[in-house]
Amino acid sequence: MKRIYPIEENCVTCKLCETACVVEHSRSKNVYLAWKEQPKPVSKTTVHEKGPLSFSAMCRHCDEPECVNACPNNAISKDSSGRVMVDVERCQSCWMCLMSCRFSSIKPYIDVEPKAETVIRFSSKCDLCPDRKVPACVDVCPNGALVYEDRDAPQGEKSVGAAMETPVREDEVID
Amino acid sequence: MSVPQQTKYLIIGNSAAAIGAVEGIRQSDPSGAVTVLTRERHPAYARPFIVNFAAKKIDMDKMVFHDPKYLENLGANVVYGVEVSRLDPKGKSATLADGRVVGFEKLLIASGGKPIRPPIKGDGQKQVISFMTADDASLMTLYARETNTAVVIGGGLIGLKAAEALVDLGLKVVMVELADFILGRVLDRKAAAIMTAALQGRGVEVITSSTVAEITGKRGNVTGVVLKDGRPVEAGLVVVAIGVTPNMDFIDKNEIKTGRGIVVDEFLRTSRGDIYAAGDVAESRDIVTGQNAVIAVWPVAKRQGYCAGVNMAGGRKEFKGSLVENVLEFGGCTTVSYGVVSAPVEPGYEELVSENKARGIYKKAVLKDGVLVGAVFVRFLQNIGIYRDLIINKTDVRNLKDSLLEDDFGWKYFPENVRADKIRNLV
Repeated sequence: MKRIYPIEENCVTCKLCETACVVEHSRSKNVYLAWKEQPKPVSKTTVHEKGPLSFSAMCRHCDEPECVNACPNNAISKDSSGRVMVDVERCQSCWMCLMSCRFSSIKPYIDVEPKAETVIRFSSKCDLCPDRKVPACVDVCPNGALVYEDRDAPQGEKSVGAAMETPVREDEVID
Repeated sequence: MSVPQQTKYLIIGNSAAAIGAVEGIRQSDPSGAVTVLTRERHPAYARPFIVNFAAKKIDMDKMVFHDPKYLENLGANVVYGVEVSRLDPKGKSATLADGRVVGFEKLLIASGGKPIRPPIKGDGQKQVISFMTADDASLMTLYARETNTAVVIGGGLIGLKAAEALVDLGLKVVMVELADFILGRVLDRKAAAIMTAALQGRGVEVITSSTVAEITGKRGNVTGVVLKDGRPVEAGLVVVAIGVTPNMDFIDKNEIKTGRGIVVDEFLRTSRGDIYAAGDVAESRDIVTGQNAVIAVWPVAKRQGYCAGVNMAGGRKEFKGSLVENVLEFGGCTTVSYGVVSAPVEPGYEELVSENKARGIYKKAVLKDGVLVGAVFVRFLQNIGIYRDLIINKTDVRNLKDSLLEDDFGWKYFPENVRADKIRNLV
């Protein structure tokens, strides 16, 4: 299946992926309005930084997902396309999936619905942007630090990712 | 559904391990007859959520595993409300309490655990309940209506869940624990103290180093308990949550090897051919200690069931070992624990601790000979899954001791080849 892969060398910590993810998972899908929405849309990917190193990481949509195994009421499942999806309506926010994910790709979502004054809680994770052909984070990345490709396919049949098309070469960097 | 006289696959029990097993069987055998026998009268449900069910926060339909016909849709014949009284491994049949006999080709024993109910004077009255099943939860809801006070005997996981439901139902709860701190099997002393404070914060009185000597009653109704020091505690409902033991009364221990539970190998096979066991009834290798143990947690049961199912249907799926892992929540305080939570006083063990008092965060890592063997987190849920991976893969972290409990600890602290393996390529 197609998955999102980070290319560390290309990441410049701009965090546009996080922004694009928030907007994509907002109701308005508008960058200005998204930040004011309640409940607050959040990014499902996280840019990890340490010194000169950075990369964006999100759900791996594992072949044998530990989160699916751990969920006691089948609120997380792997669909026929291979996406690991959370059914927010079923999720009881027991955080068993969080506990079991070795990539720490699932985040606890906790916010208050202002009108009803009820607490909204669920496990929040990458859904590979079901409404889009290419996930928002990959689309927005200006430097090819995220690619969307099928690495399960045999050698030679790999789809070409954005990284192949727009690498930043050292001689192009402007001081 | 009726009980067949003969089935290809027989599964005793209908919870996590059974669900996993039916899924596993169907990986390689799309049509072989699967029969599931259960004592309960409900479709397979999320046992950890009986607390929400008892407190009337969710209905049965939010608790059942995806949908009431989940296993039926996978082609399983689920027979509700039946109890297996005897197993004949040689003749490959199970006898039910009502005398009916089911023959099988392959059997999975996934009968789970049953509550330990030691003899306590006054037990047997109607408002003395266990807290393990949806029916127990319904009884709790029912009896909680008639009283304002409850006693929970036992400060373990089930005791904590029972207390949570009772508090949510508006009762004044007293918890009585034999040891000198609660949750001793899943948390260390410090984390347990934080959970105790969370319980007290919601009005629960926690009494440690004590036990119930007698449950008192009047005209068939519970009126309270008397503690071993003679102190009376008023209660209209008593939950016995002392512990759980494998439910394997129907097997002859001379015929199938048992320890604390039914002993299984890495393919979930018991000592008898064609008979497998999985879940809370099974005793399997603990990934951390290397010793056999009964580890009664949902993810272990589900994975074991799945592996057993694949193997029963002629496939080959190894179970890599069990890990004790728990996430607990009470009064807004969440704790997660993995593996060894307190270093035994033995050479080679080391504890690393990090606290942020202002945010109420407490973190602890337990190392043995430089390898992570356990961890505890209180009010910290960020990037914790990595610790599970480090424990399972016995990763040497002695060079990372200074950063191991940093708030931003993650794969970025590891060399490029590890990151490549974990983040980019491993799926």
